[in-house]
Amino acid sequence: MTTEFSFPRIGLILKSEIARNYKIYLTLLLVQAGIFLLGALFGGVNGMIGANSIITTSNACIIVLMPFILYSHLFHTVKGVNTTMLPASQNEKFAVSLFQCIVLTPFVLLFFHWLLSTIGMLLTGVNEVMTQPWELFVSRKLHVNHGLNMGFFDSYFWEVISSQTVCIWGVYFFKTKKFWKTVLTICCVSIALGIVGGIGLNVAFDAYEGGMYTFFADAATRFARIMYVFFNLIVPVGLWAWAYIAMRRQQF
Amino acid sequence: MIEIQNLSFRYGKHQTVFEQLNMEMKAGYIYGLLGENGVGKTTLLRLLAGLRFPTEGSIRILGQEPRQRTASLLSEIYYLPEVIDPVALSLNEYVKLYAPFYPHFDHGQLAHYVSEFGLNPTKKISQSSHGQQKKAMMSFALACNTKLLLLDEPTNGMDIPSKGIFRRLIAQAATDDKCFVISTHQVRDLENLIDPIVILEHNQVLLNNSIEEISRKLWFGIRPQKSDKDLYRENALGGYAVVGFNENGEETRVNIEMLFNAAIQNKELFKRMFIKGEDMEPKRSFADEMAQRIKSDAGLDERQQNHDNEPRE
Repeated sequence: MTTEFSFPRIGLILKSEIARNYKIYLTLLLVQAGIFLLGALFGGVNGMIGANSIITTSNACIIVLMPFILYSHLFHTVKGVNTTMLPASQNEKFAVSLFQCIVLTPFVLLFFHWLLSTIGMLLTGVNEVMTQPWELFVSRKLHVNHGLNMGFFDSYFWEVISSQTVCIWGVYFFKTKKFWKTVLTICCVSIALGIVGGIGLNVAFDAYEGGMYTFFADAATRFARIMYVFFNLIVPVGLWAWAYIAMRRQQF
Repeated sequence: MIEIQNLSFRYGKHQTVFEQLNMEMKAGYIYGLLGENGVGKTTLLRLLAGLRFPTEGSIRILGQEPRQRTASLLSEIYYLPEVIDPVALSLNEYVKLYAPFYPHFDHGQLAHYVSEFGLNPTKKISQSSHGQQKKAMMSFALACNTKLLLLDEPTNGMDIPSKGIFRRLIAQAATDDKCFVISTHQVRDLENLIDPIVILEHNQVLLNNSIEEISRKLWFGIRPQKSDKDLYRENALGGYAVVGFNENGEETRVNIEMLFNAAIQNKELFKRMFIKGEDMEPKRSFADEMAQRIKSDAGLDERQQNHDNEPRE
């Protein structure tokens, strides 16, 4: 295996990373189960619904922050040496890190969440799970709403992954204190965007007050679409690319 | 194996570690990398491993630049740092996960090294003592059979018997197609093992020569009295342990510790002698200088007399 992109080697890297991180995954799943159990024990069906919402929100946060949880030691003078010296190309290591953060972690968390919800529904005696299991994903007529439907992937999953790209960028761009430097960067960018957005809104409001109602409505709609594509597609892809470039330049 | 050309490296803008360094390291040798604290031994190893990038110049190992961190080159380099990150895995588990990355990994050799070091391969590395962690990772490193092995202070934390075992295993593992570079302060641990010797000084290399070349140019031994020609001396039983010029072509055993001290005290001289390859005249005392002058004057008179006595045409 001497090529620079080899699927068998990617499989080996993934296996080694899961072996190294399995305790983290186990802890997250146990916490999920614990929340669900507490909700069931102390609140019955309503408790499970409440626990469901908590788990949905916490899963989103965990998925966003997972790059820091898994790769906080990347490029560390001592702890990062083994990863960098592992005989695999940087492309392969980067691909595995993206796979872990974008695919594996959400799949593990959300699948387990679905499992817990299914157990909850079984406990409440819902027949649909036996006769119409697809209802779990499509319909909202469940006693325990875990929100796993088609709208979920658009509004929840992709927006969560888009947010995660900032953390992936932070992990590769900063060598030390990755989390805090990323938070600081987000704050600075938010302030800058807030100022620009405020100026833009002022201009738009003046136009609206000047009677340009139709123009304002059209412009606002178009602007919203552009911003949606920008923040949900261009920014994430751009940050992944930036993270890749930063990785290639990172030294110890 | 390793070609370093015009290598310059700086931390930040002002802390220069290497300036236009040129060096070559060949396969089939165990290089000892010596130097005072802070001269850049660990930095050089990290540059060779591709963990740091040169500011200027180039490093090529097996024809590739380590900074590219390609899979093919990384599978032929193993870097064992001074401070190890202890993994929460047993040696057996560690081998199962990471040995497949090294195409020449030998499980039989690993078993031999583990047995020699007296390790428990089922015990978690993170729960072992510092010395045992070092031995475990050393066993893995040697079993990888990489063409280049970089060891930073490998005997730090090892007990005395383990140091002897380490020397024996390194000597066994060294083959004609491998190059070992060992950075160390503990020269006595590695005497009789390292050859050639590389001595680094701030921004430069003072020495990069084999033991044979060093013993040809320098004399190591004990003299009853001091001499102006001594490059370095220290008190010893029977007089003074001395490093001096090898005027009589006598082969003596190289004392690496004393060699290092002599090099540090005579940096320019060593650089000219070993790096630039100049033939240095031994330092002369005033008496020797005068004796030499009288001798050469007598020789001049004799030649003049013979010339005067020749029949003129």
